[in-house]
Amino acid sequence: MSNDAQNSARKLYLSKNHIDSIDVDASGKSIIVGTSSLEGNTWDGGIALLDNQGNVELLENCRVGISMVRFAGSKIALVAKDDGCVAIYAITIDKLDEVQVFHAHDDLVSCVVDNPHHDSQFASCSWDGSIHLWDWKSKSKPVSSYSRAHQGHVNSVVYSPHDPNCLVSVGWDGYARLWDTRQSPTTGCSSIVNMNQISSCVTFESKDKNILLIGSDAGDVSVLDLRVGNSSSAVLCSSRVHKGRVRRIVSSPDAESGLFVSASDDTTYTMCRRSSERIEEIKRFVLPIFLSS
Amino acid sequence: MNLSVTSAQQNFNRFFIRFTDHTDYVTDIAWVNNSSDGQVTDKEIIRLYSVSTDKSMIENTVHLDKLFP
Repeated sequence: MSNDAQNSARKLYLSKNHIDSIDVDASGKSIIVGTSSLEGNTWDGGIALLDNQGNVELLENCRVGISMVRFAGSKIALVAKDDGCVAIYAITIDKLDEVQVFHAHDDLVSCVVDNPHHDSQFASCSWDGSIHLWDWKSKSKPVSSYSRAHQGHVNSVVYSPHDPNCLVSVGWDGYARLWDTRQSPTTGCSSIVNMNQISSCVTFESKDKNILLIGSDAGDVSVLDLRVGNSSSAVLCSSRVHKGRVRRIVSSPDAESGLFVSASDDTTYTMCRRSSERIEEIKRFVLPIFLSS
Repeated sequence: MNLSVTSAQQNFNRFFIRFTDHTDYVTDIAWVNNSSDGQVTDKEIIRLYSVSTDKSMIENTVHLDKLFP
């Protein structure tokens, strides 16, 4: 099969699937996506590596829905699956090679995140209510586990960009929890803030690394200051940015700008800027265009 | 399914604002770090990739000068 035909076939495969996750590597030249589809009563899915011109370079059918995919460096991908597994894929010239599988959770893995302070460490969380910390180079079992991290689904987890021992999670119970990974699982939760609504995603702000941006099922984006501690006053501000669940919030790589984007079930994604204790909506991307299929 | 890199189209200036939309849930978004991108070095340019359950992936290139005139 020629390269053009192969690329067309791969694009055709992708075009039949929901695209559930995307990540771009540090160079900005490689894109990885995770997909899922429902065929009859069976969920299917895969991962694909694309270049920044949109060409599908590699494709791997995982035979299960993919909830999240993230680069861990340029040659490793962390893949969260609907069946509770987390897989490590090595990215080679000619294939996406599944080199390790962790039977991590008892339900859908909602989030997997690379530890920016350690090459081979990552965290996963799940609808089963647990968070696990892993080292994919040395162990097949979790380095640490928080089996009842939240009541109900744990929806999102993120490592602190400046503290290697700090992890933050949010979930169905409406709490944002700060974990000290040096502590035992029973005493590791050092801070709890009640967001008073189901929290769907969390990320650290690039501009001020003590600031968390938290999205909710209701469409709110809230700003939380970790320095304030276990108090409702830790929530500096909150704004109804979307009309549906906030799926993801990404802070600008340019730390000075204070910009972030939020993606939502309301079919829009929105660029905002946090200034002091206010969220300012810069532009809502709502103008419809026709999408080729 | 839109997998083309829209900013590379020759009929447009690379640094235009492209307002796009999805027709279903926007499930994830990625923000390209321009400082590490070999092609785009201008910090005023924002490049975003969004994906959706509408089976599309879209690149948006946003010029900050037009957001903050």
